Amino acid sequence: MTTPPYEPVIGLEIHAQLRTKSKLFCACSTEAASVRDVPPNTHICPICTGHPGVLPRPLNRRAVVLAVRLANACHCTVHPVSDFDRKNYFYADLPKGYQITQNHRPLATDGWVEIEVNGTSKRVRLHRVHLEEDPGKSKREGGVWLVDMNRCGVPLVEVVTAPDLSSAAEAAAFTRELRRIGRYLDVCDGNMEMGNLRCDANVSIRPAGTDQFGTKTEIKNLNSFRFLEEAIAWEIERQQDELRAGRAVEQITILWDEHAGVGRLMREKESAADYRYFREPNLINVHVDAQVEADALAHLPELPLARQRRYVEEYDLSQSDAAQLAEERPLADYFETTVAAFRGSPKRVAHWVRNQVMNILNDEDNEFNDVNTLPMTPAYLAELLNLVESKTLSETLAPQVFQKVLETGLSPQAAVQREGLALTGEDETLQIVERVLRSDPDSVQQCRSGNEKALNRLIGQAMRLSKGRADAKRVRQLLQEQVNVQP
Amino acid sequence: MPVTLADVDYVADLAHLRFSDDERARLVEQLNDILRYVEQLNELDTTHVEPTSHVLNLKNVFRDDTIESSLPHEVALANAPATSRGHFRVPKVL
Repeated sequence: MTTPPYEPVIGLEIHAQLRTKSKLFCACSTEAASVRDVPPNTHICPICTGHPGVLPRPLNRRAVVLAVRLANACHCTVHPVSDFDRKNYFYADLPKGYQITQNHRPLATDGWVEIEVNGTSKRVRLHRVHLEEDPGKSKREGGVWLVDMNRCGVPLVEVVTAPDLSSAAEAAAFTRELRRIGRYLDVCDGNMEMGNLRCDANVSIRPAGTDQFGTKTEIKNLNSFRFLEEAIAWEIERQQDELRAGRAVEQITILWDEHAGVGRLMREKESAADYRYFREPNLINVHVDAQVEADALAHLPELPLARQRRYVEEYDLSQSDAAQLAEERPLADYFETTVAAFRGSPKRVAHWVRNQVMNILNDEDNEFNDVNTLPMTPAYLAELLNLVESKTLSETLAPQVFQKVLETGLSPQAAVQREGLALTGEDETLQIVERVLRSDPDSVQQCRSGNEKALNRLIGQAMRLSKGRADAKRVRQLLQEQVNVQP
Repeated sequence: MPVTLADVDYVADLAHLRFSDDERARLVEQLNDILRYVEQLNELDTTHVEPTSHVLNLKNVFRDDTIESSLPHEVALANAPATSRGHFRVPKVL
């Protein structure tokens, strides 16, 4: 008997920590949720820890603005009025016994995000985007269970997709794209390692081409792009094995064990959670009024995928160059500002940014890790490339001038002058060529009989004599002319 | 739809509460009383009334995103039955 091919159906629930200074319903710092090694339970108050009788403080306005911004960028309908509900469950890291979230009337619904996988684009529909507070963190250490409540009350935005994803790769691509959009909009850091971006996946399979859903399972704790992809692929495989063996897929919750690379059963259907959602009576409605909307939409940048495509179409960059340059907004802005000030081809700027600039930024051994404070500003990089373009500086010495600018903060023009690196004039080039010809008659002889190596040797000598300042192309021309003229 | 013993057991289970048989029977009665009381609201025709989610006529009471000081670490942990290395120590979870 042949087994039918199956197609996976995947939906994601993504939690992203909003980039606010303080928590959602109190004024404690969110620092501990985004910075490493903050001592436990140092950013908490009676509201975070759910002391009896405490009430939430008024809603953090910034969190609303950021969530509305993300919802807009994801083409959602942002509702003028939404409200908060309590999601009730018992867990050691949830001191109030309920999480404040938006269930019945979420902030925004029905959007979409476009992703690209292997050159094919796809619209992934979103069911909802809503606000909620983060619980704390519990962990087992040396046989005892410990709770750190620094994270309690940190503002999160939850994004729930429709079951529109058909592979582990698409699920990873969607998560990456959402992260990239969030970072572009200043909405979130999206640091999965720190738990600032977390993902749960709902996975089911069905015979390819059919439109009924199979039984879905939920995988939790997908805290890196790699684990996300591995876990979903593993679960698709597992469900296929079950069906092919004539068994049914059970509706279970799976906890991904990243060390073993396998899923572990966390909860069976029988004990499926009943959260008894009800309206949070201590909070009033959220009205997305004109002022909130204006703040959310102010300076809304061109989104990363649009930028990436424009780099290919307008600047003629390769897909991989375009993707890399559009990945982070500060670098993309740097690149585009340079392109605007450079008289030559954007491809040359792309080459320099992807190499020299990114190498400097990625090098752990120097102090330059922020493109916004790099002494080699976009204006300076354009100036440097213009010097080469206008034959004031040789291609060979351009990287050296780049270094000088970084070290001294001088403009490229000033660095070239101070270091005496300007391209040699015609007279000086000719003098150098003549000196080389006189000093190496053997190579000259070989050149005359068409020996390319000998010519390259002579060019090398001339470039050395000029300390790299000569234009190698012009040196070659002059040498070729002169070998046949000189006695 | 009256509340049954099964409903009481289910809700008690969710709330991690245990009751004696007497208490269970009494709770069935009391919960039904409460529901009957609230039922009275259904006598009103609310077809054209917006659902009310809050009795206060307030709109957008926001807080600016500024940090105020948290509890000193020692004070935050002071009432905990057990602590360990700056954490709240809790019974086994999961």
